[in-house]
Amino acid sequence: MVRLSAVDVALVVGYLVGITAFGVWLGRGIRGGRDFFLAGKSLPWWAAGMSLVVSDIGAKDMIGLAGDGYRYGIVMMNFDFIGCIFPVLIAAFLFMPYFWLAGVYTVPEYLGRRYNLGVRTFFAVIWVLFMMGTLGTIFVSAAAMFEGLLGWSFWFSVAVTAAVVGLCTALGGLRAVVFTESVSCVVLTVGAALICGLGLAKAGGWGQLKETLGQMSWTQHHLDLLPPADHPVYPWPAVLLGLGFVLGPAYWIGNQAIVQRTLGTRTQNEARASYVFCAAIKLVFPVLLVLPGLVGVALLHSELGPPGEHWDGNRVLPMLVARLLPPGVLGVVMGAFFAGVISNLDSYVSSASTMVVTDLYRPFIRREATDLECLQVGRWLVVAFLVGGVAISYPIKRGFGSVFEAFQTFLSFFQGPLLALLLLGMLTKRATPWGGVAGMIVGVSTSAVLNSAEWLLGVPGGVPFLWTAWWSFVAALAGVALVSAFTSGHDEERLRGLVCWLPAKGRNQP
Amino acid sequence: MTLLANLPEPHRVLAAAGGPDWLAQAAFIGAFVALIVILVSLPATMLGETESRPPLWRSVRAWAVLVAVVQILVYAFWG
Repeated sequence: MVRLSAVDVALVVGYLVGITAFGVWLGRGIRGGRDFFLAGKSLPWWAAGMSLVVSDIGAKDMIGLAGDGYRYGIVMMNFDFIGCIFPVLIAAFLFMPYFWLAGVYTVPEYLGRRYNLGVRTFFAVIWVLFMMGTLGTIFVSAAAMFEGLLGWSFWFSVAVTAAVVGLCTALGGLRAVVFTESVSCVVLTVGAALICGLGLAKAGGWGQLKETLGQMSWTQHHLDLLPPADHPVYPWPAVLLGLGFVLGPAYWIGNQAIVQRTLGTRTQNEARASYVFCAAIKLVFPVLLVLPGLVGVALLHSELGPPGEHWDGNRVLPMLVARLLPPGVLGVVMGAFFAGVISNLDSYVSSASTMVVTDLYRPFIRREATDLECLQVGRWLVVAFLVGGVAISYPIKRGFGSVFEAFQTFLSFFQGPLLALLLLGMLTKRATPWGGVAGMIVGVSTSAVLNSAEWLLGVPGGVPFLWTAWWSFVAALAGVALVSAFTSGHDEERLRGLVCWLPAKGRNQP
Repeated sequence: MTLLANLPEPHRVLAAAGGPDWLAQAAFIGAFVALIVILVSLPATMLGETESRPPLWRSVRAWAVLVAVVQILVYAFWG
């Protein structure tokens, strides 16, 4: 357990109280669903951009990437370079402005308008299930940190986290989520930079660090950004095709927790700008998140040793934090961890609530629900999701690794097909509703078969998940194209504002 | 089952075609170059720049190109 000084504890508690008060204060003046779910379309680009960054990066990413940086080296930076910056720039110009112009609240809502209600409902249910599971895992991460750093019990830690997030999100809606996340982005950046700066200084500077890495047999390729084509986990063609062309775009274009803040911006140009700003910030984050892993190799290799089969990478960052940071600075870094946890949680709670109201409650339960009613339901759903997340956090705690991986695998079944449907739906008017259904079925079936390739097809070691994403995307594209060729689509008037070559009449303001 | 297991899998064929290291670098840089080409060639009407072009420092397109250029430099030096 890290020993926090009184200054550190005061900083952490002050941060938690301050961020809660700020979120509640931002909730003034919410009068309807549009204010709650889309911040009344009033968000500035810079706040939405910063919010995008911390919606993506949480405490578990900080800890996980430091461990992976220790194990694999700077190849992990590709997750933020080709896996994030590349798709974010594509999304900024080819997708986000059209989501914004279509006036949708959620990505499944767009799919419903472009294809049909079946496609919309399918993806809405999948995402809500995934978000629910993710909430449980984030609660467990938060509790582990509170438990380890402040000595709080599991349930007390979970209750405090749920209360902070619940107050901010249920009262403040998307506006509170985005502005508190902007603060979190600054705290996270400062905290990560402090770990890197102090760690690098302790390791003797960059030159000394390179020399140390060169001396060990298992770190020879730690400074190679691009892995060889026969790399067992990250072969470069799979990184480029699976991560850069499928998983990255699917995440940045199809993930409601990411997209929602952009839909709340003031103009479509600000929607674009928020994504470009996020990409610019993301130029720095790979260094901030992976460098601690390399520093860990230099400072901790005698204790942690080379990564083996049961090696636990999650120990790298906490050990560095405990040894490097002086009192006061430790409080700031702890604040950064909590900022990451809270940002992740409020993004998922807010998005899950928006999706249930927009894609399930309104179409299936109360078609004639008023805006005010949607606001009330949305607020209760925030509470319900938090309670649900708390309830499943304990079973997740008991089998954390396997459960978390199961959720990730579950989601990877749908990412490729989702991207294929969005891509063809937005780029061509030829994609038909039946084509969408066929693409969805073919793509998800391909994912299922490839994920089970080891026992189903006898492929030794199974198919790497990046390749599964790529081939399910290709299969879904083929499914949509083939069935669309033989079925009829929506007329051109209905597709206006949904396909990028068919602008909506009177709604093409910048 | 055995027959399927012995068939060349598409991804392994692609991996085998991965070739020398410079090809990886060229592919990653090529992706960002292609992105810049797309960004530069997007019609102004798609970006709402119909009336007057914004100054360069206020152009979202110019900032996006700058970010992509930085990525090319990253892959050129560390790839």
